[in-house]
Amino acid sequence: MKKKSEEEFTAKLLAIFKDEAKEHLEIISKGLISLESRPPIQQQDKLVDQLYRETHNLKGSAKAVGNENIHKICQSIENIFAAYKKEELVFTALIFNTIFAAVDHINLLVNSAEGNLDQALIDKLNQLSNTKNELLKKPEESSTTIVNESEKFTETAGSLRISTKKLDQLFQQVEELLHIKITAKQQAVNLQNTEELLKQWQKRTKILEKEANLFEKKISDSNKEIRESATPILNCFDQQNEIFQSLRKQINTLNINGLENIRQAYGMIDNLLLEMKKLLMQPIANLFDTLPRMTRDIARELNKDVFLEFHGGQIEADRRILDEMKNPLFHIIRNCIDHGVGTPEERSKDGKPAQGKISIVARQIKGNNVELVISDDGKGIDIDKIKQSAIEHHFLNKDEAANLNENEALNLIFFSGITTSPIATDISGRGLGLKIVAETVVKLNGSITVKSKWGVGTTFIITLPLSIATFHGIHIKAENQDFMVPISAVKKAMRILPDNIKTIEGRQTITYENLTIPYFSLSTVLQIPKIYSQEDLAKIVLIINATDTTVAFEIDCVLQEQELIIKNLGNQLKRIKNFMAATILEEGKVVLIIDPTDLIHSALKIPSVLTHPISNIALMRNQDKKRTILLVEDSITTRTLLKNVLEASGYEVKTAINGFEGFSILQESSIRLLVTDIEMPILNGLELAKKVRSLKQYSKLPIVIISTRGSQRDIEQGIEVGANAYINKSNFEISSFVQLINQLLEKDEGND
Amino acid sequence: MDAQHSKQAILRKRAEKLAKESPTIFNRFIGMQIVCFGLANEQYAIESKFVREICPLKNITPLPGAPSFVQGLINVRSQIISVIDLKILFEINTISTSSTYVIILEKNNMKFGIAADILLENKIVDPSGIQTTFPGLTDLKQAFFKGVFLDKMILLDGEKLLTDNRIVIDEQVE
Repeated sequence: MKKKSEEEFTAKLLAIFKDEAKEHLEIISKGLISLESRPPIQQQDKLVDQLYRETHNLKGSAKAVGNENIHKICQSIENIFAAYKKEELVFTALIFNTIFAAVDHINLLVNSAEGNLDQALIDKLNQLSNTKNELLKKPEESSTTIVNESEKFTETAGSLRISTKKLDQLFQQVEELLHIKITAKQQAVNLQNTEELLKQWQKRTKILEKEANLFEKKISDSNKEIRESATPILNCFDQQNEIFQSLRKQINTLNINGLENIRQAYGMIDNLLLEMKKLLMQPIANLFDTLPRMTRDIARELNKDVFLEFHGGQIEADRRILDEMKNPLFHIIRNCIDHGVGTPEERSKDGKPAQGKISIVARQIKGNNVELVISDDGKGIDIDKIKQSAIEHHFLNKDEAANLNENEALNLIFFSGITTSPIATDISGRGLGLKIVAETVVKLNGSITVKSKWGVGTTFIITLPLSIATFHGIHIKAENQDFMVPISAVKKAMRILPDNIKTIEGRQTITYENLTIPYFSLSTVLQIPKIYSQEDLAKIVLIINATDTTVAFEIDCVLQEQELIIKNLGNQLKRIKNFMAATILEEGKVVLIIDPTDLIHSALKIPSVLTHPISNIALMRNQDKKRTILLVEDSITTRTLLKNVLEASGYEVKTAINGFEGFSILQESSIRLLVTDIEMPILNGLELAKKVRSLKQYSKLPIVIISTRGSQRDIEQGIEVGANAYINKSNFEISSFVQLINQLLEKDEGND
Repeated sequence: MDAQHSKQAILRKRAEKLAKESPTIFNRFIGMQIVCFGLANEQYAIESKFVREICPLKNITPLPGAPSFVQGLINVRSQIISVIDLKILFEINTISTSSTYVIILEKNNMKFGIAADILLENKIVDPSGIQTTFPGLTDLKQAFFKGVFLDKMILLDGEKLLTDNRIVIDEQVE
């Protein structure tokens, strides 16, 4: 028994040590970086004092938990700082690098209990502290001043350390109170309804009272028997009336008191939540903590010299927001170093100082928001390269690219796959990172934009809320199932007539604020089986916007807007597409909360449509042109299949069963594209293609060959006769086929 | 005063007797405590140590687009619990029967419910009487079955159910 409690104690101690060590190491890293930037001499001395103290404390704690390895390294590092204090050594790049390596090594040892001590590193450290390098003159006061507010290692008196886990648990419990608030509101409404009913009852009672009085008068002249038999009825009525009056009084009191209680509870719950949220606030400086070290490492790897500065670290924001922003911020800084700031040689060629500068400025702006401005003084973003990349990824065609203004073009970098880097590296260049950054920011209810001037630099501006607002959702029904949609994503709920739904390119669309936007049934996107549909009735539509895309979703009805408590779905459902979480209604029912970003992704992925909004809008401009495709195929199965696929994508389709028939139809009607099989009676597909190409008016008609033959030789034959595409039936896939047809027609129209 | 003393003495004796008695039941063999339930016309069991609680299955919210073995979500004292339909997971072929109870399993960070058509009993069994090989089963059944009792009741592997990645849904859009 005793042994067990001792073990528990040791485990607890180790956990505390781990947290403490991390703190020390972070401060040491920060201090080293400041020191490395050579601040004025007094400041250097102060920094070394601090570093010495931190290392010494860490050493002591390591000893206390019996970690000899960390104790040893700390001793060696401490010796170096001691040597500096005794003016026996000055810091060189070698010393910095070695200490950084040692800090990394300690980090490793802290995280893995059985890490091996790197003796070589210790030897190196000891060697450095022992070599009393010549007492060089200490560098003159540097003219650059460091603005690093996060550097203040403030120790606050009367503060208490509480684990974030405990705080989070507490917060969750406080959040549960919202449930009571919502329920109380419902009950207040119920009470009011009861009172209303009683009022109606009273009206009736008054009429009854009058009638009773009249009746009493009427029978006053009647004989005794009648009068006597009426008495109990009248008495009973009087008694009832008394009870009714007191009931009414009571309900009225209940109602008044109830409302007052609810009002008080409302205020208290809201206040408590607000105070609780404040507890979860942390200075933004925490977000900057690990950046200097990372900047230094990456810059070194790329042979660049980068100076990082911060302003506004004292602004406080919700810890959950800061946690979420850590990776996005890393990514932007990485981008700045990799793509923005050039090497010292490149920079001096451009007439810039060899050392690049990245600055992060946090500023509180109106409406409880913070603005993070991250700027570098590098090359800037090459807009032509972005456009090129966007064209290569079929996000837009050449004309669209040419029409984009500078700002629109720049913001393309937040789309998947777009990159200015000719090559993807392990650091960046794959064109995915900024998309993830943008998604995270939007998820946090913030926004991100980029500005860049060629040759001058790039600036990212991120706006974020300082605290997480209580989640508001819109309660809707689709196929009779309840869902919540985050209110931040809902632009409007409205009613539209079926006539206003237009089919363009196989996709249903409606017009919203002068824009043509895609229209889906929510149940189709969520894959809920449809039970009934009433085509002719007006539809209820929810306009949802996420990641800059607006889509309309048909639903059954909108119930109400309300505050919700977000509940996660548990570990068995780590991530489920289209839903971000769930909530529980007053009556205890579980309702799923829709993830707007997922939902729009899922909707746009439904086949027979192009998936990118820009391209869609481009296509919609050409909506008036009805495009006819000629399909020549002798097999009835394939012909029917392809005809359906093409028609579903919004094309008009004419069919022929052999090349000869196909050729005559081609000449009779206005055909925009030809799809043909090869093996057919009378005139085969290759001969047909050849014949079509030989005529001048068809020299540019897109021709798609679709065949069961797929050898290299077959494909070459297809190219010889002038086909634009050759599809092997065995690899046939509907969505890519439609996409190909769309592309060929788009290109064709571009040539018009 | 005396009366109270003697009362307490009696109570203490009783308590001592009770405290002694229970181990004798367990000591007869190394017992395994199980919860037995029915799915379609088959009988299943799971070790009680993985069972957190059992509650009636009502007001389940379906999860559109999720794999079919996820029956939906229920609210258990303000916590959301996902419910798994073992009949679909194990492809138990039968005319569909409806489940009436949820057996909530939990270990470490994993927690979910399995739907049961009927609850049979809680009992202590002798684990040495379990047959642990059963040829000719599907992979999933093979993975999650721990053994079969002589009366054809199947013992599920609670540990495996609560740790296997095939049960966890982690979908990515795109």
